[in-house]
Amino acid sequence: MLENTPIPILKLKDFLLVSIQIDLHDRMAQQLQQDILERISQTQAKGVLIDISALEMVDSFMGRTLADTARMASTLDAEIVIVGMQPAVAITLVELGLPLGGVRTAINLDEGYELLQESLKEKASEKQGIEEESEEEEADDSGSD
Amino acid sequence: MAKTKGIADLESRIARMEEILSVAACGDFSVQIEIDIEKADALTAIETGINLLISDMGDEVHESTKKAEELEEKLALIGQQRKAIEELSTPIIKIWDRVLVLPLIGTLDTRRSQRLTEALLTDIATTQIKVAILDITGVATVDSAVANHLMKTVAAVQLLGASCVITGIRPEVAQTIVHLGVDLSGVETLSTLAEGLKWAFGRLHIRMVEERKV
Repeated sequence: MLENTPIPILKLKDFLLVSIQIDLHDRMAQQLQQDILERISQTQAKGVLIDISALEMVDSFMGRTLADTARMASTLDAEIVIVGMQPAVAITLVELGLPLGGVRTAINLDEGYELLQESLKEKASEKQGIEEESEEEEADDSGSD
Repeated sequence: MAKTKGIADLESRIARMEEILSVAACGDFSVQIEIDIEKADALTAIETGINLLISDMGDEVHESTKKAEELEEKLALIGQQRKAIEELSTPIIKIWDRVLVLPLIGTLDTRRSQRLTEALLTDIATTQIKVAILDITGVATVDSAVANHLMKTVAAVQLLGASCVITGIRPEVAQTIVHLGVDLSGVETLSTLAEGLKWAFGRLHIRMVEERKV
C-alpha cells in the first residue's frame, strides 16, 4: 500500500474537487489516480474537477496519467474536467503529442462546473428519452396482445 | 655657460614633449606644445610634427566616436522597428465579451507563429476567454510547418478550455493544406470571420435578433 497523497479530494454536491498545488512525481500521480477513482465509487460522484492551475510543468507521464484517469472515471459514470491549465503546460503537452484525447478542459472552476452540469443534464435527458422509448415499446407490446 | 643653458633649455623642451605625448596617449587631444616661431630650430620641426599628429588623432577619434554613436542609434532604431513589427504582427482583438480574434496577415514563419501561439495562450489564460477565432484571410501561403503549427495552436487553445475556430481559408491555401496531407478534421473551419463570430455566439448561447421597425 502506497502512502496517501497530500492532495485533498473534496466533495461538492454531485462533484469532486481536486486541486493539485504541488509538482507530482510519478508515484504520487498514480496514487492520486487511485484515490480519485476510489472516492468516485464511494460517493457516486458524477463529475470530477481537477484544478491544475498551480502546475508549471506537466511531463508525459503526468499527461498520460490524467488522460487515463479520465477514461477510467468515465467507465465509473463520472466525467473529468481539467481546469486552469497554464499556457506553457498546454504548449508542452501539444509538443509532446499528448493532446489529452477525450478529456474535457475548462478555463476556470466556474466554467468547469458549468460544463459538468450541462453534461449531467444532457445525460439525464438522454436517460429520460430511453425510458420514454422503452415505455412506448411496452405500450406497443400491450396493444398488440 | 651659454651652452649649458642651451642644453638645459633643450632638456626642458624634450620633457615638455614627453609630457604632451603622455597626455595625448591618455586620450586628451586638446593639448599642444607651445612653439616660439621666432626661435625656430631643429626641435621646432619635431614639435610642430607632434602638434599636427595630436590634432589629427583628435579629429579622427572624434569622428569615429560620432560614427559609433550613429551606428548605435541606427541599431536601436532597427530594434524598435523589429519590436513594432512583431507587435503589429500579432494583434489580438477582443471583439465580444469572451471572444478573441487573431487576424493573421502576411507570411507566417515558425518564429512568428510561435510568438503568436504564446501571445494567444497567455491572453486566453489571463482574460479567461471562451472562444478564439483565427482568421487567416490575409495569409497567402501556408507551408507544412505553418499548417502543423496552426494545428498545435488549436490543440493548445482547446487544452486551456477555450474553443478555437479557423476562418477565412483561401482556396489556394485549402488546396495546399490538402496536398500537404495535413489533417484538419479535429479543427473547426468556417468560411468567413462573420461566420466565425456567429459560431462564437452559438458557443456563448448568445442570440442576435434583428430589431424591426413598426
